[in-house]
Amino acid sequence: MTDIEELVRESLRTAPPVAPSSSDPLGLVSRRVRRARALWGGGAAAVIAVVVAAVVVPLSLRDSAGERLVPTRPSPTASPVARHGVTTWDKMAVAVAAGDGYLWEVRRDPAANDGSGFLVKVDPATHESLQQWDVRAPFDFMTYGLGHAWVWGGGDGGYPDGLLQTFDVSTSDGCPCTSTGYHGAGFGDVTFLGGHAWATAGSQVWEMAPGGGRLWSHSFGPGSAPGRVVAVGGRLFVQLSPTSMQQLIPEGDGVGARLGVTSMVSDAVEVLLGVQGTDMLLVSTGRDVEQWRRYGADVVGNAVLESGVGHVATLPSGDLVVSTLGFEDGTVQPALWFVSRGPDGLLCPACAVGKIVDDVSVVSLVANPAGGVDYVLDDGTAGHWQP
Amino acid sequence: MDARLSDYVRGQWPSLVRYATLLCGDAVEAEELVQSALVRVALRWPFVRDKDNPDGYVKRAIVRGRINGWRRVGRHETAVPVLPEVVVADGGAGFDQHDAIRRALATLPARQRAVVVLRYLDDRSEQETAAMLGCSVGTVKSQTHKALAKLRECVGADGVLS
Repeated sequence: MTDIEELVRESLRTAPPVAPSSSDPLGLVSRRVRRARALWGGGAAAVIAVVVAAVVVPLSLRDSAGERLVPTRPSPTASPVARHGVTTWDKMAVAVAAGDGYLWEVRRDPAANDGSGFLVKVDPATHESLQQWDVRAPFDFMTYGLGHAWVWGGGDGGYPDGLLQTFDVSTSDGCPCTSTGYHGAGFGDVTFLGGHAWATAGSQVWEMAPGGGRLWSHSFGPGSAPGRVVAVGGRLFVQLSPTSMQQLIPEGDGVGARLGVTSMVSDAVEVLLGVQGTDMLLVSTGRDVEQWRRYGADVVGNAVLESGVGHVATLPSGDLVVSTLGFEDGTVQPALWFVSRGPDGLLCPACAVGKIVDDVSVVSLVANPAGGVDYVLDDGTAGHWQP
Repeated sequence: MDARLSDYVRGQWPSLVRYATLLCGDAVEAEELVQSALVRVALRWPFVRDKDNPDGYVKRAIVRGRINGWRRVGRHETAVPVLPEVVVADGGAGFDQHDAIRRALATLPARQRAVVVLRYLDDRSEQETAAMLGCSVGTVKSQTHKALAKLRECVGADGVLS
């Protein structure tokens, strides 16, 4: 070894320590892990170890020089920057939802040291912030329904107790919101059926009043960890683990509706993705998106992607935008994809699949009421893609 | 998270940030790099073989994250002709040879810096380094040669080395 090599080696080994800025690295990592695991519903991490799909056909989503689209990484104070259909901005975003013609976004407050932030009403066309409300920590997820924004988080290493905050966004001053805590566990998901909200919490599913507050609960038993819940065709579908899902049919539509029938739907679902139209479930059993009609009896459509599927948003055309997780060894990057429907309007293995943005880890994805999709990355970058 | 990984994060966070800082040259970016790597490791935890000592696995994830970062934003990173100012740990003695090397390291292009860290801090072979960086052994050799030449030149210009 030469003198310079010896000197380099010694210099690296005697480098002074760096003082990290984070005082709670475990909390930070735990929260990000929990957000990522939410992709699998019940909380267990699944690993998608499959080969690259041969049917992936890049679309012409390139600039004039033929370069693949990639997101910019602006500073937190940067204004939105349009780049060939993909726009990205701040790094404070946590989650995004759509409802009542607007986008709704929760953002961290960079000036707050207590983890608090804001719920922001966003113009879907211009992405201008129209109004905002204060949000307490913890918050990692959100949805919109019944005229309210529902924001939840916690139940992890950073915040052991879960918190679900409900915002009546019809009010212009202050925040007549409700906060529902859950000791020792977190909330998994929230959906809406029969004029009520339905939330998975700990090992239970809760029926909640339109403005928040638990009305009634159903327990799946000790050890179960329900994650995602969606409503379609008057039924609830709850993901209980990375490989199982249950169908729940509430009886009646008043306060305290009961679940009349509970039946196992599948033992092969890895991700309950959402609903499409009035009678279609979207699920994934690995690196595909499947359309289930008649509540799981029929798989009517299927499209294959490059790696495990995380989120799906349905465009008004019926085409999908899908986020994938990539491979852990780095050989396949997480990405955002456009998936077209086949001639019969359903997904198919030969349907065109094109990458929109490469190497982005999407934690929140929603169809924009003004067109395209909006998404949030795990580093807090918010983005928009317009087909 | 698994208790062993939680303990590891609590105990090793500063040293991981130091490692990532040497790799990327920026402490703030280093923390983000370490966070992302730990998230990926946590998600893969059931498949980590040596759960009592995940150091190698985590550092590999940091390097992979850094490589992916190059692909994403590599265009924005360029070597600078003037050495940046740095805080010297030993204020009384001023710059010593090690300080000068570390200052010079910060001026190297990202890939050369990573090659140096993997080869001389981690003691990885040229083959292992090539596998980690996703390039050929020949590229590792040429990048190492260029990096050492630049370091020798920078340090020599400072008058530290004879």
